[in-house]
Amino acid sequence: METTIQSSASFSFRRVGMVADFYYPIFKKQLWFYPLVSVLAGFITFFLSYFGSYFGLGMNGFIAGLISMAMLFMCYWAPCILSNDGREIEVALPALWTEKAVFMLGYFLIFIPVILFVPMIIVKLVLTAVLLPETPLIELDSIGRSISIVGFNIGVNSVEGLVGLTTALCVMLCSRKRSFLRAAVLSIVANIAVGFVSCFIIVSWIFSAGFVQVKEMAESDHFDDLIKVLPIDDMLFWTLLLCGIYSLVMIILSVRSIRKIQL
Amino acid sequence: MITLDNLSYRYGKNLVALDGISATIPTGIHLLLGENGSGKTTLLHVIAGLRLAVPSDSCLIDGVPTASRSLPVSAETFIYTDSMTFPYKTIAEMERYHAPFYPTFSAEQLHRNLEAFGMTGREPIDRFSLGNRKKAQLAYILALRPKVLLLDEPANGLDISARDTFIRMLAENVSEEQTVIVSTHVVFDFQNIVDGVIVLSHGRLVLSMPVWEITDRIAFVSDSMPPANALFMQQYLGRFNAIVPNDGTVQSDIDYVVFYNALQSANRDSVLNSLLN
Repeated sequence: METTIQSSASFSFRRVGMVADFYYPIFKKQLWFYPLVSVLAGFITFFLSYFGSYFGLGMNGFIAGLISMAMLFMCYWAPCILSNDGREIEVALPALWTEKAVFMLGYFLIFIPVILFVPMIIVKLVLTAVLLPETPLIELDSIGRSISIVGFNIGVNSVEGLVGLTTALCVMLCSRKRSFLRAAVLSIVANIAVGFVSCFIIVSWIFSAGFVQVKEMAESDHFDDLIKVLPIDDMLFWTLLLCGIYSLVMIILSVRSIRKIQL
Repeated sequence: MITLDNLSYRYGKNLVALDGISATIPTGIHLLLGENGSGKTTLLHVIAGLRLAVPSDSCLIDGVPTASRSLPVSAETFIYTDSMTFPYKTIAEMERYHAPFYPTFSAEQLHRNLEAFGMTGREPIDRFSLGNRKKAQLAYILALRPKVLLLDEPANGLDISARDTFIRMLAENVSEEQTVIVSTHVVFDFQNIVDGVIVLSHGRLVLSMPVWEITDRIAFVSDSMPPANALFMQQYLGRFNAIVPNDGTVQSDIDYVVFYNALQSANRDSVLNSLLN
Protein backbone atom coordinates (compact mmCIF):
# COMPACT_ATOMS: atom_id res chain seq x y z
CA MET A 1 0.00 0.00 0.00
CA GLU A 2 2.85 2.36 0.89
CA THR A 3 4.50 1.76 -2.49
CA THR A 4 1.21 2.37 -4.28
CA ILE A 5 0.67 5.71 -2.56
CA GLN A 6 4.24 6.78 -3.10
CA SER A 7 4.31 6.12 -6.82
CA SER A 8 0.63 6.62 -7.75
CA ALA A 9 0.29 9.51 -10.19
CA SER A 10 -3.12 10.74 -9.00
CA PHE A 11 -3.70 13.39 -6.34
CA SER A 12 -3.52 11.96 -2.85
CA PHE A 13 -4.29 13.72 0.43
CA ARG A 14 -2.13 11.13 2.09
CA ARG A 15 0.78 12.41 0.06
CA VAL A 16 -0.20 15.96 1.02
CA GLY A 17 0.25 14.69 4.56
CA MET A 18 3.68 13.35 3.61
CA VAL A 19 4.55 16.78 2.19
CA ALA A 20 3.41 18.31 5.47
CA ASP A 21 5.63 15.82 7.27
CA PHE A 22 8.53 16.78 5.05
CA TYR A 23 8.18 20.44 6.01
CA TYR A 24 7.42 19.77 9.68
CA PRO A 25 11.01 20.06 10.97
CA ILE A 26 11.40 23.29 9.01
CA PHE A 27 8.15 24.82 10.30
CA LYS A 28 8.39 23.36 13.80
CA LYS A 29 9.35 26.65 15.44
CA GLN A 30 6.35 28.46 14.01
CA LEU A 31 4.00 25.76 15.29
CA TRP A 32 4.76 26.53 18.95
CA PHE A 33 6.06 30.10 18.76
CA TYR A 34 3.08 31.64 16.97
CA PRO A 35 0.38 30.29 19.32
CA LEU A 36 2.55 31.25 22.30
CA VAL A 37 2.89 34.83 21.05
CA SER A 38 -0.84 34.89 20.33
CA VAL A 39 -1.73 33.79 23.86
CA LEU A 40 0.65 36.34 25.38
CA ALA A 41 -0.77 39.05 23.13
CA GLY A 42 -4.26 38.10 24.29
CA PHE A 43 -3.26 38.48 27.94
CA ILE A 44 -1.48 41.78 27.40
CA THR A 45 -4.15 43.42 25.26
CA PHE A 46 -6.90 42.23 27.63
CA PHE A 47 -5.23 43.73 30.66
CA LEU A 48 -4.39 46.90 28.74
CA SER A 49 -8.03 47.27 27.65
CA TYR A 50 -9.55 46.93 31.08
CA PHE A 51 -6.81 47.89 33.49
CA GLY A 52 -4.59 49.96 31.30
CA SER A 53 -5.80 53.29 32.65
CA TYR A 54 -2.93 53.06 35.12
CA PHE A 55 -0.54 53.44 32.20
CA GLY A 56 -2.38 56.29 30.61
CA LEU A 57 -4.38 56.19 27.40
CA GLY A 58 -1.44 57.06 25.16
CA MET A 59 0.65 54.14 26.42
CA ASN A 60 -2.29 51.77 26.13
CA GLY A 61 -2.84 52.60 22.52
CA PHE A 62 0.87 52.59 21.76
CA ILE A 63 1.49 49.18 23.29
CA ALA A 64 -1.62 47.67 21.79
CA GLY A 65 -0.64 49.10 18.43
CA LEU A 66 2.86 47.68 18.74
CA ILE A 67 1.52 44.24 19.55
CA SER A 68 -0.94 44.39 16.70
CA MET A 69 1.76 45.44 14.27
CA ALA A 70 4.15 42.77 15.48
CA MET A 71 1.55 40.08 14.99
CA LEU A 72 0.69 41.37 11.54
CA PHE A 73 4.32 41.21 10.51
CA MET A 74 4.65 37.73 11.96
CA CYS A 75 1.77 36.75 9.71
CA TYR A 76 3.13 38.50 6.63
CA TRP A 77 6.62 37.13 7.07
CA ALA A 78 5.67 33.54 7.93
CA PRO A 79 6.72 32.35 4.44
CA CYS A 80 10.22 33.67 5.08
CA ILE A 81 10.88 30.49 7.04
CA LEU A 82 11.36 28.76 3.68
CA SER A 83 15.11 28.70 3.77
CA ASN A 84 17.57 28.03 1.03
CA ASP A 85 18.91 24.89 2.65
CA GLY A 86 17.90 21.69 0.97
CA ARG A 87 16.57 23.40 -2.15
CA GLU A 88 17.60 20.55 -4.48
CA ILE A 89 15.92 18.04 -2.20
CA GLU A 90 12.79 20.21 -2.18
CA VAL A 91 12.71 20.71 -5.95
CA ALA A 92 13.13 17.01 -6.59
CA LEU A 93 10.61 15.90 -3.94
CA PRO A 94 8.42 13.20 -5.53
CA ALA A 95 4.99 14.72 -5.03
CA LEU A 96 2.54 16.24 -7.49
CA TRP A 97 2.70 20.00 -7.83
CA THR A 98 -0.97 20.14 -6.86
CA GLU A 99 -0.19 18.36 -3.60
CA LYS A 100 2.68 20.72 -2.86
CA ALA A 101 0.49 23.75 -3.71
CA VAL A 102 -2.41 22.55 -1.54
CA PHE A 103 -0.06 22.18 1.40
CA MET A 104 1.74 25.51 0.88
CA LEU A 105 -1.40 27.58 0.41
CA GLY A 106 -3.29 25.79 3.15
CA TYR A 107 -0.44 26.20 5.61
CA PHE A 108 0.42 29.86 4.98
CA LEU A 109 -2.97 31.30 4.03
CA ILE A 110 -5.19 29.44 6.48
CA PHE A 111 -3.24 27.62 9.17
CA ILE A 112 -0.79 30.39 10.06
CA PRO A 113 -3.45 33.14 10.51
CA VAL A 114 -5.52 30.70 12.57
CA ILE A 115 -2.71 29.79 14.99
CA LEU A 116 -1.63 33.41 15.19
CA PHE A 117 -4.96 35.11 15.85
CA VAL A 118 -7.44 32.56 17.18
CA PRO A 119 -5.63 31.82 20.47
CA MET A 120 -5.57 35.56 21.21
CA ILE A 121 -9.31 35.85 20.64
CA ILE A 122 -9.99 32.78 22.80
CA VAL A 123 -7.80 34.12 25.63
CA LYS A 124 -9.64 37.45 25.58
CA LEU A 125 -13.03 35.80 25.60
CA VAL A 126 -12.08 33.44 28.43
CA LEU A 127 -10.52 36.20 30.52
CA THR A 128 -13.55 38.43 29.98
CA ALA A 129 -15.90 35.64 30.98
CA VAL A 130 -13.85 34.74 34.06
CA LEU A 131 -12.62 38.10 35.35
CA LEU A 132 -15.37 40.41 34.14
CA PRO A 133 -18.50 38.26 34.13
CA GLU A 134 -20.70 41.34 34.23
CA THR A 135 -19.27 42.60 30.93
CA PRO A 136 -21.29 41.36 27.97
CA LEU A 137 -19.08 39.65 25.44
CA ILE A 138 -21.11 41.12 22.63
CA GLU A 139 -23.22 44.21 23.03
CA LEU A 140 -26.39 43.38 21.21
CA ASP A 141 -29.13 45.37 19.74
CA SER A 142 -29.74 42.46 17.49
CA ILE A 143 -27.70 39.25 17.39
CA GLY A 144 -27.58 39.12 13.61
CA ARG A 145 -26.20 42.65 13.25
CA SER A 146 -23.41 42.11 15.79
CA ILE A 147 -22.32 38.81 14.27
CA SER A 148 -22.34 40.34 10.81
CA ILE A 149 -20.24 43.25 12.09
CA VAL A 150 -17.73 40.86 13.67
CA GLY A 151 -17.67 38.76 10.54
CA PHE A 152 -17.38 41.85 8.38
CA ASN A 153 -14.39 43.11 10.39
CA ILE A 154 -12.69 39.74 10.21
CA GLY A 155 -13.34 39.58 6.47
CA VAL A 156 -11.98 43.07 5.84
CA ASN A 157 -8.86 42.47 7.92
CA SER A 158 -8.29 39.11 6.26
CA VAL A 159 -8.48 40.51 2.74
CA GLU A 160 -6.19 43.42 3.61
CA GLY A 161 -3.81 41.12 5.46
CA LEU A 162 -3.53 38.83 2.45
CA VAL A 163 -1.65 41.52 0.54
CA GLY A 164 1.48 41.28 2.69
CA LEU A 165 1.22 37.55 3.23
CA THR A 166 0.76 36.59 -0.43
CA THR A 167 3.53 38.98 -1.47
CA ALA A 168 6.04 37.33 0.87
CA LEU A 169 4.89 33.86 -0.17
CA CYS A 170 5.21 34.68 -3.86
CA VAL A 171 8.68 36.19 -3.42
CA MET A 172 9.93 33.17 -1.45
CA LEU A 173 8.54 30.64 -3.90
CA CYS A 174 9.40 32.45 -7.12
CA SER A 175 12.87 33.56 -6.11
CA ARG A 176 15.77 31.13 -6.53
CA LYS A 177 17.74 32.73 -3.74
CA ARG A 178 14.80 32.91 -1.33
CA SER A 179 15.93 36.11 0.30
CA PHE A 180 14.26 36.84 3.62
CA LEU A 181 15.10 40.52 3.26
CA ARG A 182 13.54 40.82 -0.18
CA ALA A 183 10.34 39.09 0.88
CA ALA A 184 10.07 41.18 4.04
CA VAL A 185 10.67 44.48 2.28
CA LEU A 186 8.34 43.75 -0.63
CA SER A 187 5.51 42.72 1.68
CA ILE A 188 5.79 46.09 3.43
CA VAL A 189 6.01 47.90 0.11
CA ALA A 190 2.86 46.11 -1.05
CA ASN A 191 0.97 47.25 2.04
CA ILE A 192 2.19 50.81 1.64
CA ALA A 193 1.11 50.70 -2.00
CA VAL A 194 -2.37 49.59 -0.92
CA GLY A 195 -2.44 52.52 1.47
CA PHE A 196 -1.49 54.90 -1.33
CA VAL A 197 -4.17 53.48 -3.58
CA SER A 198 -6.77 53.92 -0.84
CA CYS A 199 -5.64 57.54 -0.46
CA PHE A 200 -5.89 57.97 -4.20
CA ILE A 201 -9.46 56.69 -4.14
CA ILE A 202 -10.39 59.14 -1.39
CA VAL A 203 -8.65 62.04 -3.10
CA SER A 204 -10.30 61.10 -6.39
CA TRP A 205 -13.68 61.27 -4.73
CA ILE A 206 -12.84 64.58 -3.06
CA PHE A 207 -11.88 66.13 -6.35
CA SER A 208 -14.89 64.78 -8.18
CA ALA A 209 -18.40 64.54 -6.83
CA GLY A 210 -17.42 65.28 -3.27
CA PHE A 211 -15.46 68.47 -3.85
CA VAL A 212 -18.28 70.86 -3.34
CA GLN A 213 -19.47 69.15 -0.19
CA VAL A 214 -15.95 68.96 1.23
CA LYS A 215 -15.34 72.62 0.42
CA GLU A 216 -18.50 73.63 2.17
CA MET A 217 -17.73 71.50 5.19
CA ALA A 218 -14.14 72.77 5.40
CA GLU A 219 -15.37 76.38 5.34
CA SER A 220 -18.06 75.76 7.88
CA ASP A 221 -17.88 75.13 11.59
CA HIS A 222 -18.86 71.51 11.08
CA PHE A 223 -15.49 70.17 9.98
CA ASP A 224 -15.97 67.03 12.04
CA ASP A 225 -18.92 66.16 9.84
CA LEU A 226 -16.51 65.84 6.95
CA ILE A 227 -15.88 62.19 7.84
CA LYS A 228 -19.58 61.43 7.68
CA VAL A 229 -19.74 62.77 4.16
CA LEU A 230 -17.13 60.37 2.83
CA PRO A 231 -18.66 57.29 1.13
CA ILE A 232 -16.74 54.83 3.30
CA ASP A 233 -18.60 51.81 1.98
CA ASP A 234 -17.70 52.56 -1.64
CA MET A 235 -14.10 53.27 -0.82
CA LEU A 236 -13.85 50.13 1.28
CA PHE A 237 -15.35 48.13 -1.55
CA TRP A 238 -12.82 49.35 -4.10
CA THR A 239 -9.91 48.94 -1.71
CA LEU A 240 -10.93 45.41 -0.83
CA LEU A 241 -11.50 44.57 -4.47
CA LEU A 242 -8.01 45.74 -5.29
CA CYS A 243 -6.52 43.81 -2.37
CA GLY A 244 -8.41 40.71 -3.42
CA ILE A 245 -7.29 40.91 -7.05
CA TYR A 246 -3.69 41.58 -6.08
CA SER A 247 -3.65 38.68 -3.62
CA LEU A 248 -5.19 36.39 -6.22
CA VAL A 249 -2.47 37.31 -8.71
CA MET A 250 0.20 36.60 -6.08
CA ILE A 251 -1.39 33.23 -5.32
CA ILE A 252 -1.51 32.32 -9.00
CA LEU A 253 2.14 33.24 -9.43
CA SER A 254 3.01 31.19 -6.35
CA VAL A 255 1.18 28.14 -7.67
CA ARG A 256 2.83 28.55 -11.05
CA SER A 257 6.19 28.66 -9.37
CA ILE A 258 5.44 25.47 -7.44
CA ARG A 259 4.39 23.80 -10.67
CA LYS A 260 7.47 24.83 -12.61
CA ILE A 261 9.98 24.87 -9.77
CA GLN A 262 13.49 24.07 -10.88
CA LEU A 263 17.03 24.98 -9.96
CA MET B 1 17.51 3.05 -19.24
CA ILE B 2 18.18 6.71 -19.94
CA THR B 3 17.62 7.92 -23.49
CA LEU B 4 18.96 11.24 -24.68
CA ASP B 5 17.76 12.36 -28.10
CA ASN B 6 19.28 15.56 -29.48
CA LEU B 7 19.24 17.05 -25.98
CA SER B 8 20.15 20.74 -25.85
CA TYR B 9 20.00 23.22 -23.00
CA ARG B 10 20.96 26.85 -22.78
CA TYR B 11 21.20 29.35 -19.94
CA GLY B 12 19.56 32.56 -21.05
CA LYS B 13 19.83 33.37 -24.74
CA ASN B 14 23.51 32.87 -25.40
CA LEU B 15 25.10 30.31 -23.12
CA VAL B 16 24.76 26.84 -24.62
CA ALA B 17 25.38 24.26 -21.91
CA LEU B 18 24.36 21.13 -23.82
CA ASP B 19 24.32 20.83 -27.60
CA GLY B 20 22.57 18.03 -29.43
CA ILE B 21 23.46 15.13 -27.13
CA SER B 22 22.14 11.74 -28.21
CA ALA B 23 22.97 8.59 -26.27
CA THR B 24 21.45 5.59 -24.58
CA ILE B 25 22.71 4.91 -21.08
CA PRO B 26 21.92 1.38 -19.87
CA THR B 27 21.98 0.06 -16.33
CA GLY B 28 25.33 -0.05 -14.54
CA ILE B 29 27.82 2.45 -13.19
CA HIS B 30 28.92 5.08 -15.69
CA LEU B 31 31.69 7.62 -15.42
CA LEU B 32 30.86 11.08 -16.73
CA LEU B 33 34.00 12.95 -17.76
CA GLY B 34 34.60 16.37 -19.22
CA GLU B 35 36.50 19.58 -18.69
CA ASN B 36 35.20 22.30 -16.39
CA GLY B 37 32.14 23.90 -17.95
CA SER B 38 31.56 21.01 -20.36
CA GLY B 39 27.97 20.56 -19.18
CA LYS B 40 28.30 17.59 -16.84
CA THR B 41 26.32 19.08 -13.97
CA THR B 42 23.71 20.50 -16.33
CA LEU B 43 23.27 17.08 -17.91
CA LEU B 44 22.76 15.49 -14.52
CA HIS B 45 20.26 18.20 -13.55
CA VAL B 46 18.27 17.65 -16.75
CA ILE B 47 18.18 13.88 -16.24
CA ALA B 48 17.04 14.45 -12.67
CA GLY B 49 14.21 16.72 -13.84
CA LEU B 50 15.63 19.72 -12.02
CA ARG B 51 15.83 21.75 -15.23
CA LEU B 52 12.77 21.82 -17.42
CA ALA B 53 13.55 23.96 -20.43
CA VAL B 54 14.13 20.99 -22.72
CA PRO B 55 11.87 19.41 -25.37
CA SER B 56 9.87 16.75 -23.61
CA ASP B 57 11.16 13.83 -25.69
CA SER B 58 14.84 14.77 -25.55
CA CYS B 59 15.49 13.14 -22.17
CA LEU B 60 13.63 9.98 -21.20
CA ILE B 61 13.91 7.54 -18.33
CA ASP B 62 12.33 4.22 -19.32
CA GLY B 63 10.41 6.05 -22.01
CA VAL B 64 9.02 8.75 -19.71
CA PRO B 65 10.15 12.38 -20.26
CA THR B 66 12.04 13.68 -17.25
CA ALA B 67 10.61 17.17 -17.85
CA SER B 68 7.13 15.82 -17.12
CA ARG B 69 8.19 15.06 -13.55
CA SER B 70 6.06 11.98 -13.63
CA LEU B 71 5.73 10.75 -10.09
CA PRO B 72 6.83 7.12 -10.58
CA VAL B 73 9.99 8.32 -12.36
CA SER B 74 10.82 11.10 -9.91
CA ALA B 75 10.38 8.66 -7.03
CA GLU B 76 13.00 6.45 -8.64
CA THR B 77 15.53 9.16 -9.52
CA PHE B 78 17.88 10.98 -7.20
CA ILE B 79 20.71 13.39 -7.78
CA TYR B 80 23.48 14.19 -5.32
CA THR B 81 25.61 17.26 -5.97
CA ASP B 82 28.75 18.46 -4.30
CA SER B 83 27.01 21.58 -3.00
CA MET B 84 23.88 19.80 -1.80
CA THR B 85 22.54 20.66 1.61
CA PHE B 86 20.01 18.68 3.56
CA PRO B 87 17.00 20.55 4.99
CA TYR B 88 17.28 18.79 8.35
CA LYS B 89 19.80 18.59 11.15
CA THR B 90 20.25 14.83 11.30
CA ILE B 91 20.16 11.82 9.02
CA ALA B 92 17.56 10.33 11.35
CA GLU B 93 15.23 13.19 10.38
CA MET B 94 15.94 12.56 6.70
CA GLU B 95 14.99 8.93 7.26
CA ARG B 96 11.81 9.95 9.07
CA TYR B 97 10.55 12.76 6.83
CA HIS B 98 12.19 12.43 3.42
CA ALA B 99 12.83 8.72 2.83
CA PRO B 100 9.09 7.77 2.76
CA PHE B 101 8.88 9.44 -0.65
CA TYR B 102 11.24 6.81 -2.06
CA PRO B 103 9.70 3.33 -2.11
CA THR B 104 13.08 1.64 -2.62
CA PHE B 105 14.61 3.12 0.55
CA SER B 106 16.23 0.57 2.87
CA ALA B 107 16.58 1.51 6.53
CA GLU B 108 18.77 -1.53 7.08
CA GLN B 109 21.18 -0.42 4.40
CA LEU B 110 21.22 3.10 5.79
CA HIS B 111 22.28 1.88 9.20
CA ARG B 112 24.92 -0.38 7.68
CA ASN B 113 26.28 2.52 5.63
CA LEU B 114 26.33 4.84 8.62
CA GLU B 115 28.05 2.19 10.71
CA ALA B 116 30.71 1.79 8.03
CA PHE B 117 31.40 5.53 8.39
CA GLY B 118 31.31 5.34 12.17
CA MET B 119 28.05 7.24 12.55
CA THR B 120 24.65 6.64 14.13
CA GLY B 121 22.51 9.07 12.13
CA ARG B 122 21.58 11.14 15.17
CA GLU B 123 24.58 13.45 14.91
CA PRO B 124 23.85 17.07 13.87
CA ILE B 125 25.30 17.16 10.37
CA ASP B 126 25.37 20.94 10.18
CA ARG B 127 28.14 20.86 12.78
CA PHE B 128 30.21 18.36 10.83
CA SER B 129 33.27 19.10 8.80
CA LEU B 130 32.78 18.97 5.04
CA GLY B 131 34.11 15.44 4.79
CA ASN B 132 31.97 14.05 7.60
CA ARG B 133 28.90 15.79 6.25
CA LYS B 134 29.48 14.15 2.89
CA LYS B 135 29.91 10.76 4.51
CA ALA B 136 26.54 11.12 6.23
CA GLN B 137 24.88 12.36 3.03
CA LEU B 138 26.33 9.59 0.89
CA ALA B 139 25.38 6.93 3.42
CA TYR B 140 21.78 8.16 3.22
CA ILE B 141 21.67 8.56 -0.56
CA LEU B 142 22.97 5.08 -1.26
CA ALA B 143 20.28 3.72 1.04
CA LEU B 144 17.57 5.37 -1.10
CA ARG B 145 18.48 2.84 -3.83
CA PRO B 146 16.81 4.79 -6.65
CA LYS B 147 16.67 3.26 -10.07
CA VAL B 148 18.61 6.22 -11.44
CA LEU B 149 21.27 7.64 -9.14
CA LEU B 150 23.23 10.67 -10.27
CA LEU B 151 26.36 11.61 -8.33
CA ASP B 152 28.18 14.86 -9.00
CA GLU B 153 31.68 14.81 -7.50
CA PRO B 154 30.70 12.48 -4.66
CA ALA B 155 34.25 11.83 -3.48
CA ASN B 156 35.26 15.48 -3.03
CA GLY B 157 36.24 16.16 0.55
CA LEU B 158 36.36 12.52 1.64
CA ASP B 159 39.52 11.26 3.30
CA ILE B 160 41.37 8.29 1.81
CA SER B 161 39.73 5.58 3.89
CA ALA B 162 36.28 7.18 3.51
CA ARG B 163 36.73 7.17 -0.25
CA ASP B 164 37.66 3.53 -0.16
CA THR B 165 34.61 2.78 2.00
CA PHE B 166 32.33 4.75 -0.29
CA ILE B 167 33.57 3.03 -3.45
CA ARG B 168 33.13 -0.36 -1.80
CA MET B 169 29.62 0.63 -0.69
CA LEU B 170 28.77 1.75 -4.20
CA ALA B 171 30.06 -1.44 -5.76
CA GLU B 172 28.29 -3.69 -3.25
CA ASN B 173 24.96 -1.89 -3.05
CA VAL B 174 24.23 -0.94 -6.63
CA SER B 175 21.96 -3.54 -8.14
CA GLU B 176 21.73 -4.71 -11.73
CA GLU B 177 18.53 -2.71 -12.24
CA GLN B 178 20.12 0.57 -11.21
CA THR B 179 21.75 3.18 -13.44
CA VAL B 180 24.40 5.22 -11.67
CA ILE B 181 26.16 8.12 -13.35
CA VAL B 182 29.17 9.51 -11.52
CA SER B 183 30.59 12.82 -12.59
CA THR B 184 34.08 13.20 -11.23
CA HIS B 185 37.53 14.52 -11.95
CA VAL B 186 39.05 11.93 -9.64
CA VAL B 187 38.78 8.87 -11.84
CA PHE B 188 41.20 6.65 -9.89
CA ASP B 189 38.59 6.07 -7.23
CA PHE B 190 36.04 4.64 -9.61
CA GLN B 191 38.02 3.00 -12.38
CA ASN B 192 37.66 -0.53 -11.04
CA ILE B 193 33.88 -0.48 -10.70
CA VAL B 194 32.82 1.38 -13.85
CA ASP B 195 30.71 -0.26 -16.58
CA GLY B 196 30.55 2.63 -19.04
CA VAL B 197 32.16 5.96 -19.89
CA ILE B 198 30.48 9.16 -21.06
CA VAL B 199 32.67 12.04 -22.20
CA LEU B 200 31.46 15.58 -22.80
CA SER B 201 33.38 18.48 -24.28
CA HIS B 202 32.02 22.02 -24.64
CA GLY B 203 28.47 20.80 -24.20
CA ARG B 204 28.76 18.11 -26.86
CA LEU B 205 28.92 14.36 -26.49
CA VAL B 206 32.28 12.99 -27.45
CA LEU B 207 31.72 9.39 -26.47
CA SER B 208 29.28 7.12 -24.67
CA MET B 209 30.42 3.52 -24.59
CA PRO B 210 30.66 0.47 -22.31
CA VAL B 211 34.08 -0.19 -20.84
CA TRP B 212 34.32 -3.69 -22.34
CA GLU B 213 33.79 -2.24 -25.80
CA ILE B 214 36.47 0.39 -25.29
CA THR B 215 39.03 -2.14 -24.13
CA ASP B 216 38.03 -4.44 -26.98
CA ARG B 217 38.93 -1.84 -29.57
CA ILE B 218 41.85 0.02 -28.03
CA ALA B 219 44.57 -0.88 -25.57
CA PHE B 220 46.49 1.20 -23.08
CA VAL B 221 50.21 0.57 -22.94
CA SER B 222 53.05 2.01 -20.95
CA ASP B 223 56.66 1.46 -22.03
CA SER B 224 60.05 3.01 -22.03
CA MET B 225 59.91 3.20 -25.84
CA PRO B 226 57.16 4.91 -27.84
CA PRO B 227 54.95 2.35 -29.61
CA ALA B 228 54.94 2.64 -33.38
CA ASN B 229 51.19 2.41 -33.89
CA ALA B 230 50.14 4.79 -31.13
CA LEU B 231 46.91 6.63 -31.72
CA PHE B 232 47.82 8.95 -28.89
CA MET B 233 50.84 9.19 -26.64
CA GLN B 234 52.04 11.20 -23.71
CA GLN B 235 55.36 11.02 -21.93
CA TYR B 236 55.63 11.06 -18.17
CA LEU B 237 58.74 10.49 -16.05
CA GLY B 238 60.57 8.65 -18.80
CA ARG B 239 57.67 6.39 -19.73
CA PHE B 240 55.47 6.57 -22.79
CA ASN B 241 51.78 6.07 -21.99
CA ALA B 242 49.95 5.39 -25.21
CA ILE B 243 46.71 4.27 -26.77
CA VAL B 244 47.06 1.70 -29.52
CA PRO B 245 44.50 -0.15 -31.64
CA ASN B 246 43.58 -3.47 -30.09
CA ASP B 247 43.45 -6.50 -32.32
CA GLY B 248 41.87 -8.45 -29.50
CA THR B 249 45.12 -9.86 -28.23
CA VAL B 250 45.77 -7.27 -25.56
CA GLN B 251 43.88 -7.14 -22.30
CA SER B 252 44.35 -3.84 -20.54
CA ASP B 253 42.47 -1.62 -18.14
CA ILE B 254 41.56 1.86 -19.21
CA ASP B 255 44.06 4.48 -18.19
CA TYR B 256 41.47 7.19 -17.74
CA VAL B 257 43.95 10.02 -17.56
CA VAL B 258 45.50 9.06 -20.88
CA PHE B 259 42.08 8.33 -22.33
CA TYR B 260 40.66 11.66 -21.25
CA ASN B 261 43.70 13.59 -22.48
CA ALA B 262 43.48 11.78 -25.80
CA LEU B 263 39.88 12.83 -26.25
CA GLN B 264 40.78 16.43 -25.50
CA SER B 265 43.74 16.42 -27.87
CA ALA B 266 44.23 16.88 -31.59
CA ASN B 267 44.40 13.06 -31.88
CA ARG B 268 40.82 12.74 -30.73
CA ASP B 269 39.50 11.80 -34.16
CA SER B 270 41.95 8.94 -34.64
CA VAL B 271 41.07 7.52 -31.22
CA LEU B 272 37.35 7.87 -31.90
CA ASN B 273 37.70 6.26 -35.32
CA SER B 274 39.22 3.20 -33.69
CA LEU B 275 36.43 3.07 -31.15
CA LEU B 276 33.45 3.72 -33.35
CA ASN B 277 34.38 1.94 -36.55
